[in-house]
Amino acid sequence: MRMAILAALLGMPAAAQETATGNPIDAYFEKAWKERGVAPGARADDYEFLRRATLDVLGRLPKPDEIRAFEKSNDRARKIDELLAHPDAAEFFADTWMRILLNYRFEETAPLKMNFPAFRGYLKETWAKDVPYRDFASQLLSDHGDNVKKPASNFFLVTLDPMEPPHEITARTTRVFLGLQLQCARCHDHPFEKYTQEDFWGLTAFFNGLKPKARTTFDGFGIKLMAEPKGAMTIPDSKTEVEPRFLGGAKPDPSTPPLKAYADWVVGHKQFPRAIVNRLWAHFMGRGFVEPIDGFTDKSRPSHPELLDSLVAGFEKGGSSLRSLARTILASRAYQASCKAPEDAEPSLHAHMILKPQNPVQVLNMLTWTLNMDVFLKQFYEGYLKNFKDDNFFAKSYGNEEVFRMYLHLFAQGLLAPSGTAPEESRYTGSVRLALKLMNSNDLQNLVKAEWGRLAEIMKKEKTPEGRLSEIFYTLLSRPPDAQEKARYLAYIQRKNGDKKAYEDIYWVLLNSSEMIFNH
Amino acid sequence: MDDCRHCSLGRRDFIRVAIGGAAATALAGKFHQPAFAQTRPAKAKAVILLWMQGGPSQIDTFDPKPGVETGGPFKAIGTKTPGLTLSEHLPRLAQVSDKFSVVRTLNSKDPNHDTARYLLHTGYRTDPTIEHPHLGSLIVHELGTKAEGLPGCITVGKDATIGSGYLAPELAPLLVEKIDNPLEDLKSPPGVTAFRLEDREKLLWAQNEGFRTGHPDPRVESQRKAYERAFALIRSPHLKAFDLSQEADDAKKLYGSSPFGKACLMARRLVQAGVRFVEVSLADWDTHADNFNRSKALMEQLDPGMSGLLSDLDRLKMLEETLVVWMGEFGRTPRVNGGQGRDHFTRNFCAALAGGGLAGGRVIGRTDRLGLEPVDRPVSVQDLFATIYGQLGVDPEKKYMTPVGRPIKALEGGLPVKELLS
Repeated sequence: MRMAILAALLGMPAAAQETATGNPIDAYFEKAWKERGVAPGARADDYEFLRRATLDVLGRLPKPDEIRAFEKSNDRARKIDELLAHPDAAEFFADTWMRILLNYRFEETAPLKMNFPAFRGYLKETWAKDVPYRDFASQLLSDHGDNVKKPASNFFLVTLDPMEPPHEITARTTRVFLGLQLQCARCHDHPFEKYTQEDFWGLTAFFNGLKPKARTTFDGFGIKLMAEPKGAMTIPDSKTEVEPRFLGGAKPDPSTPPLKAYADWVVGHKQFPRAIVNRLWAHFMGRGFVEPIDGFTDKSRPSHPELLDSLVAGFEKGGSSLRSLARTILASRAYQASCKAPEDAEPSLHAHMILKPQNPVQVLNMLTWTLNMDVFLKQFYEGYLKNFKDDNFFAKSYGNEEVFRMYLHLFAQGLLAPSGTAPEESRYTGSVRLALKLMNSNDLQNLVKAEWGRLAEIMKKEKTPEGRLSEIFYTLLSRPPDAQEKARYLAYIQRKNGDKKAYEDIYWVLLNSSEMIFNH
Repeated sequence: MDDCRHCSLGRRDFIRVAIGGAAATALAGKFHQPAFAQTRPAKAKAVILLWMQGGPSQIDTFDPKPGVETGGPFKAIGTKTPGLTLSEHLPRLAQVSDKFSVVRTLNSKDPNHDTARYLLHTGYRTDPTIEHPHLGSLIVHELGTKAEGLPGCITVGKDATIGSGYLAPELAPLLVEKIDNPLEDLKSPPGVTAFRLEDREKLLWAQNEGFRTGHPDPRVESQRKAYERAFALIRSPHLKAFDLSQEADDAKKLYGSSPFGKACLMARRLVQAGVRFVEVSLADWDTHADNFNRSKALMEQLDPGMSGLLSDLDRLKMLEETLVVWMGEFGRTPRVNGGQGRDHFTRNFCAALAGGGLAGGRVIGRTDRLGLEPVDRPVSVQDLFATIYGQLGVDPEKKYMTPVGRPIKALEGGLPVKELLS
């Protein structure tokens, strides 16, 4: 504050105001909105903010008691810190990165190739301990040996295809960590990028010799990732031999082990921080500086290049902490802007929050909570485990909660948008199948009953129509009903003579509403 | 360089991307020349895909090799088709072999279930930068559908997990999971009467209206449309197409009593109601162990189901306009493994095609004595797709624009199997 006054006294330009809130995003957009004559949107109210931030950080809806606590003390900065440190944030981080690293797919043989419990535990710990992103990437790119002691090695283990040279590792690691699309260069020089086929296979040669070694049994638990570098490899269907080399042609130091050399190159690449800042920005803001988020090219024009640069600089200065980066974004005025926008709003200016579709993890968590599916899922899990009872061969690899969870995410993914490749876009797009499930499925509808599930709890806890209506709204839409809604639904309850079916109908309506399925 | 097909970055695309915008679209129009013999007048109006999930063994079904070391225990039986024998466990199909043709030399390079399933449903290899549409979605996009309230593309049986890709979400196949309870998600749960559903619908639109006015986003609109379609579906007069109890016993008997047989009958009813594309899946062909017992059990479902479908379509004069395709993601190794199983095999495997204006009673391609290699006339997956699209009058060269503005053809490469064109 003092700085701002001082700046004003000295007649310094507006940019100095950056120090007023300390948030580079605010400083940037204040200027950008002014320059473009855009009126910044309203600030999201506390309910909207809490629902959004909880969905974005914990991957689930806020619970009524969490909402009530925030009503009493609505310090957003403190809430952000609380969310970032919440155990559910680690769960959501693990679910999210499991999907990213497995390329949004779940091959049914994956549990035979890797150790799911060890890997998910490792991902959770990464968030819980706020491990620098640089170190996280380094481990994923170079850890090898025992897949329990070195759990990061499970990433390469699951990515390796025994029938193919390790080109998928090249394509996936450059896409995930550098935001570059190299896979076309696997077969031919990229037609409008500078990458050549030799560039692609030069990178792949770093992984030549990488292979899984089963320790005892044929399951995903006791596998070692063997890194016995073989160096130069031949490009398939050709006679060209390529040595390990980085994009652009530089050769690694021969005394450094290849995986280490590759990891060092990736985390030192100028795209490395840009890709993760872009990914996180897109996650929170609904749109990347560059889209698709892993499609940076020489011709990419980020929507806000200076802001991207400044966030990258802050990220690197802050020891590449994902939590700090998330905190900066969450604290910004742009993040906390209301989603309510005029027809002609330009989304890329972020004067209003962009409406975000929920991803499968969020949808599954949403259903689990609003329909009180915990009990149902527990039974389902026990039934699932029975599949492996007298079949020791698969029991260890498949009979655990982590693999079961993948199946659930796959189920939710199928509800949102059935897809083969399931890229980032496997989010809610308006699928009839989900609508029909939410409207009619007996399994789910049995949980929208006044005698059963979350609604039963509400009916028992609250005795008046107003109380029940309000609790239903807190549970599903994370806010109290407005005056119009109150009038409409109380009239409906009255028309039905207070019958419990009226509450079921209201619960059903909110569950199926647009407001419910979007993150706003 | 088969592997490059997924990229589909041809010269024309390069020009279009390099120039960009409407001018390029106009220019690209000039480049557009339908390849030889690719677009023909439509003969088929509907498709029933019999999807053999897991990859059926070609040697134990449509390309038997009795008496050789790879042949397994099954005998071969003669058919009406010259040069075609079938497994002894497909006797009813053998009797109607004049109605279908067999391709014995289909091949690919993809031995993984998920990606091969994708290839055999889209004509493309998986590609992390784009999602291709299910062939049914593409066909419905081109030809529309006729059954009011019902989606144009329906999958009966196990989840096929391929969606509408870069095409609109409403073109995605609607999955009907449980054959004995097909209306599970298509009708209101017990206790929700038509009146109550009307109440709910009114309240829902009122609730959504409040949200919609403040959120002018196309995705909100898309969600609203999904619900409109869902309500239309619940109230569709064609829902009775799912109800097999309306069939005479004779018809039911024809298809057999297995879930697959029932699904085939349902497919016929759906096509009759005007649905453009129905996929029926028969799962569990992934016989790495105990191949022979399991394949035999599956054929006991397949034989009456598929032969019943073909005879019934023929009897109803629907076969001429309904293309029936039998295929799976790949075949299985001629070599029998230690567990009496067969593993994944892509060098030559079988597909069968019937109706839709294609010739029946023909056999395409031949494999060697042990079934290890194709001897003549290899047929690619793209050739198969070109044949299917061609019968429906869908131009494989037609270009679509993906949501990110990338042009892509309905199919990259492939020529119709001319021996099948009657």
